[in-house]
Amino acid sequence: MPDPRILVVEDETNVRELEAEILREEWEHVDTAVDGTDALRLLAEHVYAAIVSDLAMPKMDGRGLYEEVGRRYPNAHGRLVFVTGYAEAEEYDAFLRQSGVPVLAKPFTIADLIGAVQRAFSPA
Amino acid sequence: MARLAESSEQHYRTLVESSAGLICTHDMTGILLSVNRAAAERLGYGADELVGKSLADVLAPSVRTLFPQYLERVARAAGDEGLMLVVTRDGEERIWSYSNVRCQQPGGPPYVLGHAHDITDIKRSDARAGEAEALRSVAQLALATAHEINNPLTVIIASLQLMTTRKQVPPEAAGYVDRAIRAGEQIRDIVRNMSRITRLELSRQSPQLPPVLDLRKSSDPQD
Repeated sequence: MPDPRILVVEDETNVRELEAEILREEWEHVDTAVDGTDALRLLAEHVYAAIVSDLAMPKMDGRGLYEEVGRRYPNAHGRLVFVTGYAEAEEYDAFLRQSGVPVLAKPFTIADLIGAVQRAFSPA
Repeated sequence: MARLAESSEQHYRTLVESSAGLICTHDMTGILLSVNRAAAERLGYGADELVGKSLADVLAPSVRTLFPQYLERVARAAGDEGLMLVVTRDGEERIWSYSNVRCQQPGGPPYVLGHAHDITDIKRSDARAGEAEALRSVAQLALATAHEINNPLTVIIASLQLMTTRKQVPPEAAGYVDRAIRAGEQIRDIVRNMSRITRLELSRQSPQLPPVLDLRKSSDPQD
């Protein structure tokens, strides 16, 4: 895929900047958003090959983003990856199973993050 | 008149004998004078077997030393109430809530009329509810803590890896960075166990220290 664009959605500044920095080691175009609302603004401007999103965020969380992406850009659903420290939480457990969105648990390694994004480029 | 009194006594005797309440009388030294069927059966004895024994004999050994104090209280006041830990013939400990009063017939010696009910099942159920509540609180705290730790831990582990990948670590510091990454991964495993707590298992790190929550034993195994 030539010049894929990647979107990182994360409210924690340190984590967001680090994820973007790691991904920029591999890909040139990496944008960042602080929550789901911010991400929708960027999704209106660009087509993203992968959307790496936190799950628990203020304003619009990962679930809200998933639902809104489904309404506005149904084809983008398969390009979502959730990165979360809340994977065990009951409130997200049912949603994650139902949506089938791949989940990368924090803390991740560099290889984990890059691998998850590569899989999002060509979802099974 | 005498027949009426006799009939009344018979009536109360039947009432006591058929009562589901645990009823007994004992003298001021604690020797049992009568025990109703319900109380004797609950303890695993025939009613007559207990008469003549001390009430202290059916108390759990761990509380038997408190018996003289009970006798003092019941002799000093008009009665006494509280909880007592009894032991059945099979060795099972049961909790009885009792309310005993001192009585005296005209011209007779004082004695104690005891009435109790077995609250063991209620207490155990309360204890189970308390444990469930404690587990819920610990699990919630663990989950919240896990989330708070995971973000900075992600930054620590991935930043160190990024330095290594970019060859920004001087050779003499490489060992320290590797060690720090491994320690970070250890914290990651501890935090994952914290978010899988399904029961409260305690263990001692050392005999001198009080028991603490054993995260490994308290958590479901990882998938």
